[in-house]
Amino acid sequence: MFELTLQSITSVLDPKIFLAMTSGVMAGLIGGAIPGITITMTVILVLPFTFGMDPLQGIATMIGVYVGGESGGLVSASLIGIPGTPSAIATTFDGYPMSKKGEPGRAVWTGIWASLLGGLLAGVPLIVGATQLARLALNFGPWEYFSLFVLTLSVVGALTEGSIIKGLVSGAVGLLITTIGTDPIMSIPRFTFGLGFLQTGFAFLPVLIGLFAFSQLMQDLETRSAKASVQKTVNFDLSVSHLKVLKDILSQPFNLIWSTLVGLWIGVLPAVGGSAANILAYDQAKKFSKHPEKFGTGISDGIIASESSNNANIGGSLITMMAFGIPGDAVTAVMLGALIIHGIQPGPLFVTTNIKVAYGMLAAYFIAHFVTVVIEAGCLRLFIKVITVPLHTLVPIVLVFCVVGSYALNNIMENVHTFFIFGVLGYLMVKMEFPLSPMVLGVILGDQIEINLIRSIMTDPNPWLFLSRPISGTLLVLAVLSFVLALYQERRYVKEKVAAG
Amino acid sequence: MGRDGWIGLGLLILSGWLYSKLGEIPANPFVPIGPAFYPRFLLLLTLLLSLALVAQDLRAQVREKKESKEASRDWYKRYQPTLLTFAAFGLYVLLLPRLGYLLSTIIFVASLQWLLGKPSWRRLPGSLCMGIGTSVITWVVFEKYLYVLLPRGSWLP
Repeated sequence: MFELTLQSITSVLDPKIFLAMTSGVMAGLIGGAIPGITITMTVILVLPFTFGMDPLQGIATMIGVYVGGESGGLVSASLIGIPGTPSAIATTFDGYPMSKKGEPGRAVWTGIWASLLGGLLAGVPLIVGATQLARLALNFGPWEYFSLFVLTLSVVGALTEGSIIKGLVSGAVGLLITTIGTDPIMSIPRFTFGLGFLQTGFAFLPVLIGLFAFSQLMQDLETRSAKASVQKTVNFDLSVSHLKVLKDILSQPFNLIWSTLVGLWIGVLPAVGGSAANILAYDQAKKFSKHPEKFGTGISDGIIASESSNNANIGGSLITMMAFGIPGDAVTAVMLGALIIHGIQPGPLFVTTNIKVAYGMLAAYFIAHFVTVVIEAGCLRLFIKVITVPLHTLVPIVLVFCVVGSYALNNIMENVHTFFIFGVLGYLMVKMEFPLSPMVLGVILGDQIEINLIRSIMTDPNPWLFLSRPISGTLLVLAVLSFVLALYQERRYVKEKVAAG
Repeated sequence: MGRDGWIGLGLLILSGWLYSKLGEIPANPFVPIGPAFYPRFLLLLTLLLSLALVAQDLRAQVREKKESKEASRDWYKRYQPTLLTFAAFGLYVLLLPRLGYLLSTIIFVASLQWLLGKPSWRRLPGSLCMGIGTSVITWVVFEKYLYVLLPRGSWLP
């Protein structure tokens, strides 16, 4: 598998693919640097440009956006104290104080080098994990797939912030949405109410774009007064001794490796992204540190933990996506949609039947990290200028790109309507404190859950097989355990809250 | 009952209504399980979860005091840009197939940018340029290079 990845590097270095990926990195760096524009949103903006590309070129471009975006977020986090993306929140805790102490160059470059090292370290488990897990999943029957998807939904419902019931309701509604249109087995229409555009159900990508991009933009508009204060370009002295910075990072091997592992693990968990990874890694670094009191005062330890973990998170997310066809986070959910548009069905067979694309993705992941550092070295000043673009300039342009992205999918206005409907729904859900991730996962997995449930019952109507088959049974037990554990934790939290008055 | 309770109740009614429609889904003699099997299973799950949401809300109502309502003026100030964007975007979606991509995008981008910033006559030319630029550049890129046929406009000759 390492040989195949090395061979694929040559494919990705093909000028056509390399140029597209580099443009993706650039877009990711810019999108990531602008507060209010998330990496998911940037991937969504880039998506329509990839429709006409060949699969590897398109997916390499998106990986470029993903890797670039994770690094782009640290620029505004370190220099102005506002994270460009949620996955750079913890970078502000020490990056910004370091800048204020007069070391903005050290703050930014500690983040950039830690991102590179974290990303590269996570690359090895990505190659091994994605290929080995996919091989393991080849032994799965419909019972195991069904149980795996149930476990995924249960974990996501339980891991989301706030009420577990709300997480589960969100997931159930997502699954229900997939029953609109023709059924996946015999193509019989369900819940179409005679409406023509419901015959094929809601297209997945406009739903996703609406839920993530539209609702995010609306939330940003609500808090725009806080972000509008970033109007002046400050002249930062970004000169730094790279050798010193690298020595500093490498003198903390435990922090670097542990944070990378935390990022990887969070990435592997379905639908939990870099926003959780960087905060958890920062917290862990502080707990393990000999000088926890210095955290938050502008020390490099915090920046290393946050930045290495959020790039490692990409590796983890890609493992779940490539091995099982389950998105590790919102960005990989969009990537899954893009793969389906290109006629590639993600899942265990993906790695073995689409060797060129699968290993090309792994190669693109590595190359994108190096390209990111090179671009940041050359264009850091441009990103500082970009972060001052006001939100009212960006919102209409981003919305136009979302419309084009939805429309270009099949050249029909119905997709734009779907985008709008789910945009409003997503925004209302966020306002009512319903998590979006379980719903998105429900929409992604709905058809697969139904297909595998029906297949398993048609193969053998004995329902006990779901429990008696070892892997399927274990997965279902884990699903119940994760739910019970989350319920217990929620009850304990409520009790503590009541006790505290 | 609080907000979550009403949502739960709404979802309960919706699930119940969809459940009543399951009988209208034609069965298939070749597939013994039938296309209504999975939605029935899901709707029962949604019904249960809706009930749980209502119950959770009722319990929370007993335990917690109701939070004071946000002053209406603050509410309007906070949500004004959001409501404005919703309205403008809704209008854009309506105009898109009628005026075509080029014209409706110019109007949408220019007006929304102008309104979301501090509206003044001095800012209008800038917003217009931004609208024209966004519309023309995206049109050229998608129509000429990516071969996406953007909406033409039924009201235009």
